[in-house]
Amino acid sequence: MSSLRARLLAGTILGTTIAFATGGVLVHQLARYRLERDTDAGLEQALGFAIDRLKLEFGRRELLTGAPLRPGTKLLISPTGRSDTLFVCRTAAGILVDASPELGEASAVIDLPEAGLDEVSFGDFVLASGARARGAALSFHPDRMGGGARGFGPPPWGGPEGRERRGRQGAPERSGPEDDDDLGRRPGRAPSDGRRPPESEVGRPSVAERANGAEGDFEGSAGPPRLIVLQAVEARQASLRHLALVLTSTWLFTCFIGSAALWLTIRRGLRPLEELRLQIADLDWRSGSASVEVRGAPEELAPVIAQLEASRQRIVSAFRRERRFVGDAAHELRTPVSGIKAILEVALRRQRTNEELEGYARECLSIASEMGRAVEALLTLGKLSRGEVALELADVDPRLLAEEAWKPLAVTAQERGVTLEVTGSTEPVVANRDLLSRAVANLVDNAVEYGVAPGVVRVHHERLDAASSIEVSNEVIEVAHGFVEHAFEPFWRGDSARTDAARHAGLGLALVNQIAELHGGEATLSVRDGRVVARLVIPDA
Amino acid sequence: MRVLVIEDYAPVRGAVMTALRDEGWSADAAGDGSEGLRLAESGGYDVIVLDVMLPGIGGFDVLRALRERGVKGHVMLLTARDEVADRVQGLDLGADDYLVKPFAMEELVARVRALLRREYDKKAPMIRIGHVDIRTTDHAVFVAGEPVEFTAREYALLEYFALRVGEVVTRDDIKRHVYDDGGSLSSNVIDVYVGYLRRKLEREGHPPLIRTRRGEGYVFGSADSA
Repeated sequence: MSSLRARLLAGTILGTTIAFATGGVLVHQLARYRLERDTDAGLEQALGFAIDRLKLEFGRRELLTGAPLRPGTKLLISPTGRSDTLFVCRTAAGILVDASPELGEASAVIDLPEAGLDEVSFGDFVLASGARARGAALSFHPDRMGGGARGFGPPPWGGPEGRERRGRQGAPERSGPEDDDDLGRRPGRAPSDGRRPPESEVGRPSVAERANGAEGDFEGSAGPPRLIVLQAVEARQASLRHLALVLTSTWLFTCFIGSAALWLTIRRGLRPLEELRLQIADLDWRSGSASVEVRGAPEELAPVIAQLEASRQRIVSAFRRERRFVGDAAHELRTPVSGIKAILEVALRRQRTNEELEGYARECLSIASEMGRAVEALLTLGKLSRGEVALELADVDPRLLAEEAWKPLAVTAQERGVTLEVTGSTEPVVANRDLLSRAVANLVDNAVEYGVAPGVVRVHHERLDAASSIEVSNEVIEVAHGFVEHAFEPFWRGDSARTDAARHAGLGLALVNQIAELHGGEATLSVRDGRVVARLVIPDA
Repeated sequence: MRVLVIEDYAPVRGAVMTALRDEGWSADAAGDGSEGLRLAESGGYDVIVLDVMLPGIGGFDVLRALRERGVKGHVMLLTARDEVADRVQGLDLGADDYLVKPFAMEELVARVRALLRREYDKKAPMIRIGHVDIRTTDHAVFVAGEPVEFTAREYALLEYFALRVGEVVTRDDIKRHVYDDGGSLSSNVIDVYVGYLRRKLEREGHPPLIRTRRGEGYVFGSADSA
């Protein structure tokens, strides 16, 4: 999964798939729950109807002790009035009162655990035909009418329709001998204008009635008769299967279409990335002429592009610096080489005296030494900028360094009438001794070299907040153009520097700068009161 | 032959000067543009070797100033950068030749020699005057077909005469073009050298090549060429 496209695609598809699957399962479960609840409610209602029917068709005795008939002989259709409903009615002793003829012998084994009088218990069956069915069982009082509605209140779907149906169904059957005083309470007997008596009068017998029924009605039998109503759930199962099928196919279709759409979207969304890649491949990292511009790039890419552009600019300027450095370094070495070459060519053109040859040799030697210094400085500069120099810090007295730097210059300086003046704090600076010594020496050397003669080279050390400042200054008449800005760049030289001595390759100040940076400080140049001031700030370690 | 070298890098400057003097030419040197300009204006140099990369006034500026002030003399530029634009600019500013650094000393000398020939309108490296042949490339001199040894000073004098054949050459000209330290030289020395030359060039049956013009100087060349 290394490709961003693949990752995005996989992640999103997985997420959507799981979300859709969970949703589908949830919908399916909800539908199943709903259907089962409806089934159970229907079964409860069917129980109610059936009990009323049974009481009408059978006498109290028959219900308590069992009917002498073959099952299905009396009630040719299910007492629930519904053709998809089967029933079994047994006495408490297990003797069959009546059962749907479709059940046949199986009616003997169909049972559900007892939940108590007027308590409905539910269960699932597999019929002999292999069909699955849901069943509800209720032990009921054989005397009271409307017992089916007892114990579970009004039907869940709100009553009126059910009661009306009960009324309609009840009316034609209402001629049985079992009609008793309870009959007056039946909904079927409600006034013909359709109005119903209050709920409590319909479904809830008085406490006295219940007590009466419970105490003495089952004498001579094992207990109340028991009715089990079964409803085939094939249709329900089929609905659920159908729903599952619809959900699954919707899910698959959505996944497929969604994946395709996603793939297209992601491809489109990633197009700026591809364009960016091509542009980066085409970028000129050396000159920095063109910049990266991705049309229609999403805003998330903008910082990436900006960062890339910034990095590129840094690389480009590094390349430029490097090119200039290499060019300058080459030029710096070419000049003395051309000098040596010219001298040797001249020496060999003619017969020369020993004195002449010695003169040429000395000249070449001095040029070679000058080249050696330049090369050393270049190497040090390289090491410093590569960070290869271990920075061992120690307490260093910059005033002492100035005195040391002065020693090799003293004779020349004296001839030119240049003197050294060291002032300021005597506190030590924490720095690398060799490097700081080199920096101070370079600055003093420069000051003697380019300062006005006769004059004073001043070294001043000052404590700042958490830093030390070392200033080396010399008097000047005029400062070369661009001196303050460029003097720290490698190979930069004021015009006069090249004229005669040519002993400075223009690397001294560049080294000072590197050394300052290595210590986390900085080197600056300024011109104050007719003096060039080179300032080296070294922060406390 | 007077050559001025304007070059800031001392070792190269010194070597060029030595090489030019080895040729018997008079050479002066300047370390920067302003001094070079001053020298070039003051004395009639035949050739000016001018470095482009000069501190102070740059080489191109020196060249422009020279041409503006009507300084004669061929200018040869020494350029560090071998770029067409630089060379074109130099030539357009009035330079006669250029040489890219680093250069071979032989080439510099040969190019200066070529410029000198042009300066004196002598295209061929072989100069024939009467019975004398002068090969300027290696300073060989043939008198009536036979090689004759000349000292460097004598040769320089002869070459100068040869380049100015038929013209009146004053003692002062000789001082400046043949001797570096012409100022301190007595005219007697020049007469002595001219005497040496006369003797070496003299042959039976050939007219004398060097004639003296009283109060003016010398005229070099056979009577018919003069």
